[in-house]
Amino acid sequence: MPGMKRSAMAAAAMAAVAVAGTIAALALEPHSVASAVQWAYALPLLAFPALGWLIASRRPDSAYGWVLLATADCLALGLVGAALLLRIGQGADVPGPLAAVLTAMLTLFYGLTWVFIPLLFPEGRLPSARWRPVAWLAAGGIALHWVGIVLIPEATMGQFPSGELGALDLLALGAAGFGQTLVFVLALVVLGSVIVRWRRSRASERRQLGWLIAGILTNLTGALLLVFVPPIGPDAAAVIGVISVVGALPATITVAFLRHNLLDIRVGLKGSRLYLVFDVRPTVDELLSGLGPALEDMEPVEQLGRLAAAVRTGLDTRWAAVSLSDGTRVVAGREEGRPALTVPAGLGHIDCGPKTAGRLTREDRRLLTALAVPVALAIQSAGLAARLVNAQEAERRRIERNIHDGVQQQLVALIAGLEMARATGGEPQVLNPLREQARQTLSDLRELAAGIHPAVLSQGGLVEAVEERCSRLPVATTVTADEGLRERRFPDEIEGAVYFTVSEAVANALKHASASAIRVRLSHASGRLAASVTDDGKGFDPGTVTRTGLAMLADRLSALGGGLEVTSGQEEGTLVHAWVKIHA
Amino acid sequence: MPEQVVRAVVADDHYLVREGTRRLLETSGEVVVAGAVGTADELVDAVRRLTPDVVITDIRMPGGRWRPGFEGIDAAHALRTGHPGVGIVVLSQYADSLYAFELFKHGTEGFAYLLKDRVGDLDELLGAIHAVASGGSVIDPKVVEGLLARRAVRGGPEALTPRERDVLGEMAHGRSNGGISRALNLSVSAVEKNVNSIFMKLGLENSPDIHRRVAAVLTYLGTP
Repeated sequence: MPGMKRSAMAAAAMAAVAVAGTIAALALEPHSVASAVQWAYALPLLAFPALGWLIASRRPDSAYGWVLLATADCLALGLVGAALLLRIGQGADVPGPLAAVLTAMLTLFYGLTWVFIPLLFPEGRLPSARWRPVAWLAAGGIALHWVGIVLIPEATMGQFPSGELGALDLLALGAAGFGQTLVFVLALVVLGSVIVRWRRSRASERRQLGWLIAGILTNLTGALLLVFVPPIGPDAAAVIGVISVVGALPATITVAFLRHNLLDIRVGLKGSRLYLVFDVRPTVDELLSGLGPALEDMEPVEQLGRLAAAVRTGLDTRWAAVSLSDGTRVVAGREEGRPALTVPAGLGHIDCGPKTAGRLTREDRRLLTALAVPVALAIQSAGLAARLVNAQEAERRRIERNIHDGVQQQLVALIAGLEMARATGGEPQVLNPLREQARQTLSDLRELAAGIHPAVLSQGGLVEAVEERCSRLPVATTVTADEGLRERRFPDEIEGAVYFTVSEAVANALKHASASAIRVRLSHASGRLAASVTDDGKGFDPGTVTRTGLAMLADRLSALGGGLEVTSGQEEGTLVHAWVKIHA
Repeated sequence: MPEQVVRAVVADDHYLVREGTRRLLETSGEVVVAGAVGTADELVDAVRRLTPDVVITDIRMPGGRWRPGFEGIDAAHALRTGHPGVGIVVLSQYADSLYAFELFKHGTEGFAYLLKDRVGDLDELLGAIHAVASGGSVIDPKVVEGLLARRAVRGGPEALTPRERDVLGEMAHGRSNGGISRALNLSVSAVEKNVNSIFMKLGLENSPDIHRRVAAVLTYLGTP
């Protein structure tokens, strides 16, 4: 199929090999007409390939699906080999070595079933790095067992090789025996570890592991039954044994996966029909492209809420939260307990609660890392918005303080003075100072009003306003502007941001830098309106200065798609460069 | 100096300021306030009805067909077309030269631009009223200061000496050479020398007529 991914094709092929092998093995059985009992074997045999294919095609990054498929293939090929050996026994013309190699695949089946399937459950990963030697040892044991069996095909059938035994035969027997013992011991170790995991785990994980343990125990019991009850015909013990060995584990693993929504595969009942539901868990790309346009028109805090919800849905966790460094925290779902996973996102971080089912997988981590990018952006703009609001509040408080401490007090003093003048008959020596006082008040008020928003900025534009501002400075200041800029008008917020940046920069040059000359340059080129303020003052180390008035203006500028750069150094003067985007 | 009583109309949207100005002017005995109005529209109407010698108007009086923030200036220009002889004093809360230039953009004759605080300086106010009544022009010293500073901010070679800058400021303010000599404590001949030097350096047309001189200086200061 052209649209099919390579991994999906491989999974389908492996499943097909397992199914075809199983059917072939049944058909090859010497009793030409397979009995009902034998067909009953086949059913559980198909559970492994089915589940393996489901997982491998849905979640190709998880090794578990591939392990299940490999196990199923080994079983099917092994059964084909065993059937061929029986045929040879009846005199059929089949190449012996082929049958032997195929039959030996059964050893791989047992090794995978006993060691790797429980060890890697459910995500296809080792529980920890400490298990790596065990995995290698088990692989070695399985390989030894396989080599030994290939060399002595009879051993497969539980028969001791007949005839004289050469040195090679003895070596093969030893290897096979050692390998098998090793695998069996390791299988017990793994079983023990699964039981320990089960005891330590939380409720939801506990039930999944419970299914697995039940499967392993049934499987082992079945194996013991097969070994200790002599194989004479299809008696009850053998049937139970075989079904247990080949069927118990796939069955219980299937249940564990379906019941607990591991890997997003659920089983449900619709009316009287059983059906499988593939949770359509969105991919990273789908999540991001779905979020993008929705976020654009949203307030920053809303964006964070939306992103937290996306993280929760995307990872299927009980809750997810986005936290900002200032303590703002937006939670989707009901936060409970400590986060299971925390990743940094720009100036904040994302916390995730435990998954609704199962543990967080590698895929989940990848999804979260991808989501951290838009989250970081949203956090940045939320922080920016919060700072702009704060700056606005601070500015209001400053104005209120100025009015209260300045003009208001001056007027009170004026009233008191007038009352005194009235009481004393209004002599010129009393009235003249009062007039001066009133003038001073008016002049202060004029400056205050200009500081809030200079009328000349709205009436005369940026260049006029900047010139006016700079002409009132006590040091030599020059203002140069690009040709044509004087007549150009820009939106209020742009003129305001640039004007107040220049105003703050020249104020800083006077207050902090003790500058003796200031140069202001206004320019307009390639979609940018820029202002630079240079002074010859004492400069400062930009790294050591905390947030100042300029930093607040930087926020204002970046909200307009612009920015602010301050270049300075001890005794080097200061250059403040600000720009905003202009839409032609 | 005041030979005859000047008939005036006062316009200000703020009642207290309007009445205060009216009473202040009337107590001087040099001005009769024929009418006091609160909008630019009423001002135009009052001038048509009362034909005063001088109008004293606020720069900003919300309402009407005028540009917001420029109502007083727009009304002044409208009056100048219909009643060329009326002198107009615009009282402004803005020291920004932008507004002064707006007022003087079609010529300076008979116009005065004063900051509002001059209502507390009766002599200054009366001086401006008499000046515009006779076709002269006055610009507030603070605004001239601002103009000179603006000139400096725009850069370029500053040809004038500090003394010449002071004299230029006084000239812009509409003072005669005698007035300048009194204001700056200089001899009249020293003032004349400075004035000549300024006109030479700036390439301006010298004129004994004070209001033409103001116009020339303003033109120079206003050129970007």
